[in-house]
Amino acid sequence: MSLYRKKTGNKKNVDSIKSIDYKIDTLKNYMNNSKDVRDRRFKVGGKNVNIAIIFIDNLVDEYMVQDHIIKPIMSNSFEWPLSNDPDTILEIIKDYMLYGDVIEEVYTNNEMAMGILDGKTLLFIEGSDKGLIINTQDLPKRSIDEPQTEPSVKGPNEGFCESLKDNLALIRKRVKNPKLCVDIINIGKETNNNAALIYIKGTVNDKIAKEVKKKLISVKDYDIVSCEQLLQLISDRPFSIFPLMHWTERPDKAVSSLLEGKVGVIFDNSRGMLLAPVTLTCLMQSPDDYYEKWFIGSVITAIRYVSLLITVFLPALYIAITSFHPGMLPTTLLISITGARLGVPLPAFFEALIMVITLEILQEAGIRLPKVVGQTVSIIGGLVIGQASVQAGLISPIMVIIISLTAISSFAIPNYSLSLAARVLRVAFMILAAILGAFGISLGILYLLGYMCSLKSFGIGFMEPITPYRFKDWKDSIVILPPSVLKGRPEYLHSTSDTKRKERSKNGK
Amino acid sequence: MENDKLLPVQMMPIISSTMMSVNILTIQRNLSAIAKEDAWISMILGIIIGVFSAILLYSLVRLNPGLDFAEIILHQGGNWVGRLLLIPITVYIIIDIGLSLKVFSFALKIFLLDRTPISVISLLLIIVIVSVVAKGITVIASVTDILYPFFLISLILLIAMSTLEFQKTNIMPIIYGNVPNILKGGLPAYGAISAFGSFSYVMKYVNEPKKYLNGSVLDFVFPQFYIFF
Repeated sequence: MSLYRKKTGNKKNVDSIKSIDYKIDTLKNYMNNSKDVRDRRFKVGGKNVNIAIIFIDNLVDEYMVQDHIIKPIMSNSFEWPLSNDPDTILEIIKDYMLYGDVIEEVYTNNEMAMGILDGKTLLFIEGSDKGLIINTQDLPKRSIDEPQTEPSVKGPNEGFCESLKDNLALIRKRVKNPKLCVDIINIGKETNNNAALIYIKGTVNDKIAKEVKKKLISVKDYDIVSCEQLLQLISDRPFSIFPLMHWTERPDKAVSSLLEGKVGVIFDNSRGMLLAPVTLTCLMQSPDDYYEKWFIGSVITAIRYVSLLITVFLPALYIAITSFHPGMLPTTLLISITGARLGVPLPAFFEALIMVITLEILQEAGIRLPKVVGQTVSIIGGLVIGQASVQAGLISPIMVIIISLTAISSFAIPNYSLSLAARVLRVAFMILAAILGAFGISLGILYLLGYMCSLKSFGIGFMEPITPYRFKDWKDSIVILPPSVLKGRPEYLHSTSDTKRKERSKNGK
Repeated sequence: MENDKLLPVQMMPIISSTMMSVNILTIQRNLSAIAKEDAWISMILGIIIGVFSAILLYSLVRLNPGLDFAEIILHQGGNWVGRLLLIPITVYIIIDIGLSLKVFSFALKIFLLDRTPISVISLLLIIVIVSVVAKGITVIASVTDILYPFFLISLILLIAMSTLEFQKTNIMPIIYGNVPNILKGGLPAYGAISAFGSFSYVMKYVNEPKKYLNGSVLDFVFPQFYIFF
């Protein structure tokens, strides 16, 4: 009691002519009288002090509202100070009664509305111009689940979900380091969603962190709903066929990138994290590479590169060889292919094109349909249609083999965006092969290499560290060497700190 | 982060590629037409001349840091004299590139596209090469970096396979009344390796030129070794 008196001894006289009803009406009117904006008025303190709380249904935890706001105020109200000053009473409520972990004072309708829209509860007291925003957030969200596009055999099965807070927690839980910085940037004029910029101070290249932050601030007026849209907005080359930021839904992958000196961006309501800068070698890596012995990881990585080449070039090579350069094949293989193609009415290019389009339709249908039906469609498409078209003489069996191999190889690419890019490139190379044969493919490769080498992700070349030759970085990109060898951070990132661990002292401790 | 700058390690692929280039398709025939069975001696002669030229060029570049060959000539010769000196060099480079393009287009026509007009092949090559070159020196260097290992592996395989065809009688007798032809053959041999001069143009883009110049001997020796074989 004495403490309360001490508090109220320094009161201010703030007269308000506005009643609590008027304030509630004004605020509700500001929020277009939405029916899900709820209010609860009550009188406390034995002095007829009018108090009201306002919140949005389903965005708040109702038990929290009852137990952490209404109950403490009502049960403690008989011990209130003698002061009648509403601001003082509000201060006492804030400092001594409310259990909320985050309580902010707000003054304007906009601040109040934004707080309510964020799932918090607004508390008014009659006579005071300010209100209290109390954290009672309980936004609808999905639980942490297995990553859907990046499954791992041995790695952790936690994946990012759509809650920014949970995603940040998944990172924090893995990096218990005070140097881990999180900047929150509000994005969207209408949507008002948050983007969190994450990096490890002292490890990250400051230029990259500043550049990403600058880009995020530059798009703060765009109303976007996902981090994929954000990716396109802040990419250096929005028309690039290759992803210039790395989208991942694996926290372990995100953390290892942060430790390398990269920058991460998590966006509200998005299942994933964007990592910058990105290189081709990053897109070709999978967390499983590090959960196996180094030589297994290296071999698997090599197989993935081979898969990428098969995905892009195999149908084009088949078209070029069968249509333009059959002399390149050994005679027995040539006879075998020619025999298989006997009776097929279409040129190799159209044959391949039909099969590729069918494959794309099947893949797309498999994604859109529910999981169980999707698998059935894939089986029907792959086996029945493939078999039927060969038996009908429309497609040669070799073409089915080529396209199947191409499809399987495309699934070996660990990054979905890169896999999509490879699928588009496949068609482009098929067209080049159909027009100019091997020469067309060579020209295409030359142009593609030029294009890929010109891409930059936040100042870092997309083809780093393959080119320029940074042999030191190859041990953690082209091949995967044991962790004891990987003590340095990638040279191409120009990280502030060079090593991942402290150098050992001479006595080995 | 180091825009428009090359690492010293990127110089070798550029120099090697420009030195070997299309010449590798024609040099054997040209030399054997002139020097007959002593073509290999002409090649050695060409390489010796090339070494001296390279030392001269190397010294010139070291004396004028931050400038490419054309800028050095302009800087040393002044605006008028420098430009006059540059004219024949420019003409030579254009003719050399044009001939290389023609030779390469012919080779492509013979081996890959026998029914496609040579003009179409040349035009397509020009379009694609210009589109890559227009992206800047770093892109040119990066593309060369990627292609170089494939180029090297193919060449090594080619050399390894050609050793099966090697017959000592083909180069016998050695220097038998053939000295004038050997000397004559030295010129095209030198021409074949003269593209090492490309380093004088690319040098100014290297981020640590001093570091590169100290270790540039290998870049010169390796391609000559391959061309010789």
